[in-house]
Amino acid sequence: MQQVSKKVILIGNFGVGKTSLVRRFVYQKFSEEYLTTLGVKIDKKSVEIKEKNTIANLIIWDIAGEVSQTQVPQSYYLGSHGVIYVLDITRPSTYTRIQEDLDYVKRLLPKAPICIVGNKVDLVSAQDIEKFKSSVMIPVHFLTSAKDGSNVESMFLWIASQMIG
Amino acid sequence: MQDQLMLKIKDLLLADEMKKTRALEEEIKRLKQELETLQPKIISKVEQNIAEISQPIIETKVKRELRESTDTLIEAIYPLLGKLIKKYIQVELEKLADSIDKQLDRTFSLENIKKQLIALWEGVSYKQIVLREAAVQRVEVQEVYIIEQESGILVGKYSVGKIIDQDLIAGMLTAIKAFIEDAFNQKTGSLDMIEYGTFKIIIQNSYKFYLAAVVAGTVDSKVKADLLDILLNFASKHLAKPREELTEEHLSKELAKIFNQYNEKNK
Repeated sequence: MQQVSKKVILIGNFGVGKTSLVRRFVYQKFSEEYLTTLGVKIDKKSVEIKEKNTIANLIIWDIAGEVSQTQVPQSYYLGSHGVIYVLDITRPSTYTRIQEDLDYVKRLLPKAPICIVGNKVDLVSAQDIEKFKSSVMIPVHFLTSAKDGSNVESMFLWIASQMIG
Repeated sequence: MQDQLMLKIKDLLLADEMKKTRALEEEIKRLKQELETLQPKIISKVEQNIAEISQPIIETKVKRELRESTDTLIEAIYPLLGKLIKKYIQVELEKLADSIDKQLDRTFSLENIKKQLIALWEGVSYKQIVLREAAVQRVEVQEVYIIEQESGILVGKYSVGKIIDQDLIAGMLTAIKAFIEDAFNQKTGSLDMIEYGTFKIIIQNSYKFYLAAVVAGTVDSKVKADLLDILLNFASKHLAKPREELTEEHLSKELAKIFNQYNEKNK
């Protein structure tokens, strides 16, 4: 099995649950306590992509949340092999600028796959999810919950597989 | 006559109470005596058992206090640590002074004349040469990383021991470097050294990669310049190839050859 290292960045508004998603994926833990990320926090986890006979060492850059992604230092984006854009389903203000943000990211990283994630699915009803899907205007790849772990693993596996190509 | 009458009336009226008072006084006296005889026995018993009874309670309490009041504890220990450090520096300076004295004692030796000639040749003072030799310590390269400039991905490594996850160090170094370069809007300049405690991280940039060496010991400008040269030579010899041709295994092996030799020489 071949081994590859890939840099994946998590971006999105503050408080959408980027750090909690990483924490759930890497350490299988969740905390109700909210601590804002300062700058960037780096974690690592290896995943096996069986269909590609590859072990991917994911170097995960959890970047401090910003209202607009243009405010994130450009150097944090450089060299990224994949991007996870996280939204908070319960807060429409976290996805009003999504198109603008995605255009910016695509300009900086034209080759990198982007995974759009609606987090905090545990807090909403099926009806709210439908409402969210119609208002977000862009296809959301995964609806996740860092709290109960739903779809977290599959979301990271998906981006890992996309990055390997 | 009247007084006697009063006494008789008093005796008649308070006879019972007076009896009781006397009986109570007797009882108190008896108890007091009993207590006096028992007191040494009780004290010795308490002395025997107090350690046994209180030890677990005190232990739990102290542990809780240590856990909950770490800051207070550090606050209390800090001045003591300061004194210890001061003492340590004082001892080290004394050793250095001794070493200089010994060097100066050999003023007319052949070795000393050689040093004076080196000082003249290098254009530094004789004192500097003596100090440099007196203060010389072992320099050890403990870790070397070859890191991709933009992604922060580790592509080669050398390690004397195992510090922590090298992929994470490579990522964090890249983030720090990127942050500093962004913050100062410096595209031409670059971060070339980070100091942390007794460690120094010397950074040499090449085109697509940068190399970081974690060094322990006294890193003066000469050691730093030498290491930067070694890293630069390594980069031009091994990294000026297409990315697909670079393998972690090969690069790590080459790093090990160079830095094992370097550490051996500096022992």
